[in-house]
Amino acid sequence: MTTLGNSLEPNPTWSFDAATRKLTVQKINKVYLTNREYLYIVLAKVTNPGQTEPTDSFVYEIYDPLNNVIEGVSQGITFESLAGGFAFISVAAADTLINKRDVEYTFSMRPQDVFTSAAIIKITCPT
Amino acid sequence: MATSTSPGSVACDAITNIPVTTGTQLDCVFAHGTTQDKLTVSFAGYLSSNIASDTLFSFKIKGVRGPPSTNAMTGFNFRTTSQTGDLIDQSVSGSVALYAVFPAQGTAANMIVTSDDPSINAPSTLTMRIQTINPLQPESNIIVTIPS
Repeated sequence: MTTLGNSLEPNPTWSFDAATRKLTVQKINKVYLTNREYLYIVLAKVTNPGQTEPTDSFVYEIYDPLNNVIEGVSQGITFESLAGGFAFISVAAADTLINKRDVEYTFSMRPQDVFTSAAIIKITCPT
Repeated sequence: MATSTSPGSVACDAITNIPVTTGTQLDCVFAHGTTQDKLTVSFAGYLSSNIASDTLFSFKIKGVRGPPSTNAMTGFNFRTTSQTGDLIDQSVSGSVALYAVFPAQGTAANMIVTSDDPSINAPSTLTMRIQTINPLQPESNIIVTIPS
C-alpha cells in the first residue's frame, strides 16, 4: 500500500483485516489539507473479480488524528472487471453441404478465465 | 473550532431579552486567530436599555462553519466587558460544550477506483482516489472496506 502526492505520507502505517476486509491507513496526510483535496491510495497485488458483475460497494471513513470520524461514503462505489477472452475458439460442421438438415456442429473454446460449475455459455448463431 | 466562513462582520440577530432599539440586528464581528477565533458583539448604539443582571438572553449568528470533527467542542469562552474592554463576567473554562456533530456523508462521486489491468481475475494494482469533503488535520486516518 502506498500513496500518491506530496501532501500524503508515501508509506504510512497500514493494515488489512481479511475477515472484515478493512484497510486501515494511519496518519495518511503530512500536512493540513483543505476541503475537496484528493487522497490517492494505491493497493498492489489485488486479484480482480472473476466476473463482470460490479462489486459490492467500497466503503470508507476518514477520522481526525484523535479518531473522531469526519466523513465517509457507504454505498455506490463499485469496481467492475472487464471481460476476458478466448485463447482459442472454433466452430466446425460435420457436414458443410449447403442447406443440409440436422447437421452436427462442434463448438470448441479455451477460455482465458475460470469457468465455474454454474457458468453459462451463450452463443449467438448467425442465420 | 467553530468559526465564521470568513472573518469580519457576520449576520447577527437578537432572539430573546435583548432590547434592540430598531429591528433585531446586532454588530457582530469574527476575528480569526491561529488557535482560536473571537466573536465580538458590540451593543453600543444598539440597545434602548441595559440588560438586567441574571437575565437569560440569546442571539444568533449566521455563516458559521461546523466543527472539523465529531469530537466534542469544549473550548468556548464567554466574556462580557465594558465599552473600554474591562472584564465584567466570564465563563468557567470548559463549562460550555457543543455536541452532536454528525460526520459528513459523501456520495459515490467522492471515490473512484481504477485498476492498471481491469481484466477478470487479473493480478492488478488498485488506485483509490478519494475527494475529501472537509479539511483534514495532519495525521488523519482512513479506513477503507474493500469488497471481496
